[in-house]
Amino acid sequence: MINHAKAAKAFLRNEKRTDWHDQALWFVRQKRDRAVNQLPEWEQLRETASQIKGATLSKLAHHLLEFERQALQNGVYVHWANDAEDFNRCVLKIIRKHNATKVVKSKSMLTEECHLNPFLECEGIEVVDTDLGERIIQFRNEPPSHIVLPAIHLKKEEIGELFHVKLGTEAGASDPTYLTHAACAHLREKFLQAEVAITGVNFAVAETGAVVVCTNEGNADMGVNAAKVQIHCMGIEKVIPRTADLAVFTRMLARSATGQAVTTYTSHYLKPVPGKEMHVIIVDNGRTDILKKPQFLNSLKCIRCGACMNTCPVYRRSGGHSYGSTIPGPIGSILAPGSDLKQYRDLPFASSLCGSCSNVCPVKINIHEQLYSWRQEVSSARLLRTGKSITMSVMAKILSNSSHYQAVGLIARRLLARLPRKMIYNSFNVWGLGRELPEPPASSFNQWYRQNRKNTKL
Amino acid sequence: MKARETILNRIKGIGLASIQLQELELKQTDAGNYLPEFIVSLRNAGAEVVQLAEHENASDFVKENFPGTISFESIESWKKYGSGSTLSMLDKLESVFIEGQIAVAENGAIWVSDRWFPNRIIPFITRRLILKISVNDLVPTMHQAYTRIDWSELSYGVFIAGPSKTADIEQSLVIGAHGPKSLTVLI
Ligand code: SF4
Repeated sequence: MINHAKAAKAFLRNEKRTDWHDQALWFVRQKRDRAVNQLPEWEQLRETASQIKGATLSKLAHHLLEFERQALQNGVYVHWANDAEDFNRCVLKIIRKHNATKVVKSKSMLTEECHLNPFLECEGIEVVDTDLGERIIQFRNEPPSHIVLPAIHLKKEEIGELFHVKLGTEAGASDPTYLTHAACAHLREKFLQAEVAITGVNFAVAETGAVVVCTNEGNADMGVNAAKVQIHCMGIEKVIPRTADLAVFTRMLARSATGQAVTTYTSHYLKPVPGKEMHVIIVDNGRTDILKKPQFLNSLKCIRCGACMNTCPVYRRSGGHSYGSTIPGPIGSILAPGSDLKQYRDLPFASSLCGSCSNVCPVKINIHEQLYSWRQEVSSARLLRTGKSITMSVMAKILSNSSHYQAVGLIARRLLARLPRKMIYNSFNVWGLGRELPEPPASSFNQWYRQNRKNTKL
Repeated sequence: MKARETILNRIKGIGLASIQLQELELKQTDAGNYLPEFIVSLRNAGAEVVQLAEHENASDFVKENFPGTISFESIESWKKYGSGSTLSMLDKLESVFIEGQIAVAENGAIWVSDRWFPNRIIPFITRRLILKISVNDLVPTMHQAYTRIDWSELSYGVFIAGPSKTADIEQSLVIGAHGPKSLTVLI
């Protein structure tokens, strides 16, 4: 079971580093703001994007079938997978069919979610992540801490040390340009040797069967265009109906993600080169369960831009790994409980409910409201942590009766002012572990009001 | 086949009320001058910009200024770098010249498709990419760009905005990742 507060505490131990992490992400958020403010029609675009996704989800089977039909016509192999195991086997089968052992992969959160890498490695297949950030964390044997910036938790000195060991770069070198070029030289070899290339999918267009992948590094295209076999992995929610919809999303994705007007490469794969093979795998893995829940189905609109993470005061100060889920941050905290409520019951509480995530979300997902709804689900499934559930039930009694409330208020004001700190901030006061109480006021609002507004009736 | 039916049935079983997909309202754009905006976008994306005069020929300009650049105007070069090529040979490409089809002012993206170069990996594997674009093919936003693409014939196409780049190490921008280290756009 994930304990977010505990994991965050570990992250917070190094204050300077936490500040740096916080600033780095805030910088990305500011870049996003500048890029977004260039478009006076931004709000209209968000509305449109949300509408397109909502309409698509409401007729998902229809659009998926249309996509499949077009893709088949284009000479593409289309596969379907129920869950992670199904998916991993499907990928393996394609690789085996070609007797391949060398695979390159560009960014795909779906393959992370399904733990494809360890599965293939167990089968004796070399899988190389080719996005620079992903390669870094693959070398470190850890999951990404952010969906767009997978290695945002690391300092360049640490990457320098890592590359020194793994790639033989100079000891002590930490210049990002030097390190990047060293990694790219290493990855170029991998591209040229790979037999199979795997990518994620940003958008799958039903109208044409086009698979659209957005990258800055060019790694998806290097991989796909070098290998004999290309495999694109998509969740069922990635389909969009029309080519015209692509314009809406490509205008928003990079602006929201990194503050660029568009990613360097927006690649459209429709047909394989004669003699080569193109495969698309359409994966459910719990998505239809989310689709079933009216209050949560909007989370399937997500285009994985990461903006909600960059803006989140909790994410910025707790780091992606503290969430313990494949997708961290606000969106991760509403997706993860849907897959396993018990395991991720903590995540809906890893939020101040400030709503900043919902404000930046390009597809207008009501993230903070869903976080709140998940809290209620956790509570009604009796999965609240004991400390929290006891406090809650006591508070419910106090708050539902006005004379109880006033009496307790009076006692609290007297006691808080007099009691030694140790009596107030101890292990029973879970809330107080990370927070300071305000100075207790001399009187309650009620008393103050009676005194100052004598003529007004309460 | 089983997973396909299971997934589709699960979706259908939920029986969501259907929401009508709205027509996209495209703001009517005038035939304005988008060139200045395009140039700013290109520079922001890290591209070098060269504006050729009316009488200047792009191919001649490339020959003069970027000697050794490969272009695919002749059948021989099309064959050499297409069916007759190997990856290790393409890996040695230093500079390549390709004609862009559509250019987008708001973000500097230029559309190329594999009808204009003999191997899909060429615009990525080369160290330097030179793209030519005509002002007549300049559109203000992605909306107009997508309406101009002929999908019936297309098998692979990509919008390219600047040279390849990454900021995966401490958010410092590094130009030149897996794709070209430089992009020159001839207008
Ligand atoms: S929830 Fe919205 S803001 Fe967060 S990653 Fe998804 S699309 Fe972006």
